[in-house]
Amino acid sequence: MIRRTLLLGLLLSACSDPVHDDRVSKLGGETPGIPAGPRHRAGQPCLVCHSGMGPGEAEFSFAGTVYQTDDAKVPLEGAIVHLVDAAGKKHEVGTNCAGNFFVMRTDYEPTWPVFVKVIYGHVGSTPIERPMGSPIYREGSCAGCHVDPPGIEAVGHVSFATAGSLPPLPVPECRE
Amino acid sequence: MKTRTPFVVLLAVLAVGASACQGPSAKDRFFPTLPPPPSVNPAQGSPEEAYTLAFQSMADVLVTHCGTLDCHGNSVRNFRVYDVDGLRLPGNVTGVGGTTDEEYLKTYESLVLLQPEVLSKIYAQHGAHPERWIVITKGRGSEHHKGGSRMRAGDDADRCIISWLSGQVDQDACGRASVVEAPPEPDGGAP
Repeated sequence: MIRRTLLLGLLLSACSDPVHDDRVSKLGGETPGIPAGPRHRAGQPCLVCHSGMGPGEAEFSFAGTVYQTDDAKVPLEGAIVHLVDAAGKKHEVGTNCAGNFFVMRTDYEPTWPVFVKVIYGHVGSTPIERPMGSPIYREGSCAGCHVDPPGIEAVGHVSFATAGSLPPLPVPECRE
Repeated sequence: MKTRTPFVVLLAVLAVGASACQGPSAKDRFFPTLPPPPSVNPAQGSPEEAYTLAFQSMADVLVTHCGTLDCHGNSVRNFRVYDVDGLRLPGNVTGVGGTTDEEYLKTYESLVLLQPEVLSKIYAQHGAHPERWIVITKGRGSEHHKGGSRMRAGDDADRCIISWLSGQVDQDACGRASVVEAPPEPDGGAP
């Protein structure tokens, strides 16, 4: 019995990835009042938990949070995140009241690199587009690179506009 | 005689193992023949400026094909590519300003420290058999590369890097390969 227990323990420990476990634990707990789901953990690197290694059940190919401006973290609701991969395969997804979006891996498995732009509003009939400066070659979490504060290898959170370049936009409220 | 066979095999294996662990002797010296480094603030019109600009055009290909923040534009990599939109030197901020001469020099230093003995041989032979060098094998995906194949033998990016190895940078190929654009969308990309 003891041998079997020890063997089982060894097998279980062999299956865990301490690096992944560490990344998950560093994310901390849920924000009080925001249940686990599409609105939770805005601004965090979603694929740490949602890449198939758990603990998040849903598996994403891309996910992140879009904010209105680069100087404050006010979510941009109703923006379209437009992705097109090296093979020309396109996918679009909207942001919710937390600014969050996610793309299920079963819906979009890209050929790298992937080119991204955020689309929101119109000037006349022309949509306003904000393309990302460089393509994505690997990282599915926006917050894998878009970390605050901007620095030598961090670009700051994903924002649609620079501060003061747009008229005030509605501040979304997440309601149950 | 037969009883000795396992012993002989064991000795042979040990001998091979021991020789595999043997490094160069303390007296050995390695004098690499490497492509020259780019200059920081070279004099206008000087040969150094011309070479620096040529190197930078090659480095820009490394930037677009290898140097995003999620790949080699990252300080955790052995091969680090410095660029305005990727990894910066202290005092600079990603996405702000332009790539500095010092950052191009850091990219050079990182690049030539990858298998320097192989790079040295290739450069001394004017770029012959570049497929011996890890940057080419990884870039082409002919050996395992987590980032996959980022160039094909004979395409502009490949020709650009190989031209640098030969000592004569093909700036036309480098210029074309330094731009990576999204493929056209049938519907023009409108949502």
